[in-house]
Amino acid sequence: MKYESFTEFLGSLDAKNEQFNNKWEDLKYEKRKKALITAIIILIIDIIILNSVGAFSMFLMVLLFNANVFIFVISHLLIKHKDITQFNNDYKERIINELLKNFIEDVDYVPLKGLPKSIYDEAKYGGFYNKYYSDDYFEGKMNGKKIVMANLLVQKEEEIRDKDGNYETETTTVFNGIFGKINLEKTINCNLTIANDYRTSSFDKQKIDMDSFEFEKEFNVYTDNQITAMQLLTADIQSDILELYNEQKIRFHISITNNTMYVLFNTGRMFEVFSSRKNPNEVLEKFFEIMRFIYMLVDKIINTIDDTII
Amino acid sequence: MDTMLLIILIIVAVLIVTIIAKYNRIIKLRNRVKSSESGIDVYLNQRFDLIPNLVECVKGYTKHEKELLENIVKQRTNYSQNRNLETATELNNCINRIIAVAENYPELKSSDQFLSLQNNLTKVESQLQAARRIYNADVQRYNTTIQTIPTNIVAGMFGFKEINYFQIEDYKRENIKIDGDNL
Repeated sequence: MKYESFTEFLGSLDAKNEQFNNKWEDLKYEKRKKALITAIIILIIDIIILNSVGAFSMFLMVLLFNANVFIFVISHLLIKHKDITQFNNDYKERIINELLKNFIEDVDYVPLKGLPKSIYDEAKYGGFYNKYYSDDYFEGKMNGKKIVMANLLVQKEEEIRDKDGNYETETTTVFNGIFGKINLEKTINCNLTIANDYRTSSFDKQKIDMDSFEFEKEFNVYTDNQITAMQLLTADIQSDILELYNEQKIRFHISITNNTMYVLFNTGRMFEVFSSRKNPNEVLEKFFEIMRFIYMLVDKIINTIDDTII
Repeated sequence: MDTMLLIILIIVAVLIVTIIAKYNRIIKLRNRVKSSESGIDVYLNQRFDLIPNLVECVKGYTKHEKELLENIVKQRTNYSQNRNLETATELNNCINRIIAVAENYPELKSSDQFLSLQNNLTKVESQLQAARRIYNADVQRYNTTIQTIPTNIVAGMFGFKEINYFQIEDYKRENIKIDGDNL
């Protein structure tokens, strides 16, 4: 990790980030301007229509009102979408790339690329899903270990019949956040899952009791080898994991199978700066803290595995 | 009169069911303690199985540790005749004393045989620590259960007693003195 604090990191970005902040301000101004112009055009059209019809009826007013709202929303979305996509793409290539470089060695970040579904399935996260979307793929090395990570949105979509016999689509999110696969090189010769996201794991029957009350209150541990699990999760490690979690309160699911570690952090959508009304620096700070948390946790677990004679 | 009898019968039935449930819970917890105790036994034996090799290895490099080596052999015999946590702790302490003494013999410390033994001992020690934590956590759950109301009444009725925690790390509290006179 090059810079431990966001302020230091922000300082290293200097002019590059300043340009984006200015562009963001311009974009906000442009957005308001375009919305105002659209509203004026709609109003003029309304006046022309009302003049040409010559009579005011309730039906016409309702029709016009609905048409106005529809046209305004569609045009607003089209304008917004085009500009924001461009801004986000540029921002990702310049700033998010720098952010990832701060935590990951030899990083290769491809914003439009996703992680194959098969890798997600390997993690055996549990929960049926039929919609899978991934982007913001990045690979590199963390603590010398090869990693691949990406943004994931995994959902279950199903048709539900209501009491009147009508069908409606219900979408349930199975996972939304950062998913990663890490090659540990060293094997732990068992399965070990540490999770606090309340998802029922496929290893549910292998839940073990831990000796720290505070840790057990927050996390579930599943394993097929309790001795190895306890060797790795010493009192100090349990306390460190808990302390890290309490700083960010991001629910996670870490699953280690022999020499492969799968990590799932319920961060929500990451690296989309303009999707929030907040200033890009505020959003970037949030991403920085999340990535810092991911880095610290993964680093701690890798070190523990490396230092333990199993 | 019939209603009164029915109420008494219901109360008695509820009491019996509660006692059975509490009793079964205590038994379940005690069995878990026994199971984790056997886990400790496995790793203690693995550790003690390394003693002959350790004695042979140390004997080859040290000339002044006769007493210590004799003591470890004596403790091992004592442990095989009387297997309990006390004798196990004594024997474990002896092993740790030998490892500590080895620090004063650079040739011994750097020998391949000793390094391999030390590596194995560290591995088993780490597994033993894990087994000890599992055991102590199970003991804590058992002891808490038999001390809390209303399970303590059932525990008292059937004579369930508290179980002691396993303190294998006693040697760490001892002041192991290694001075020139001992060597």
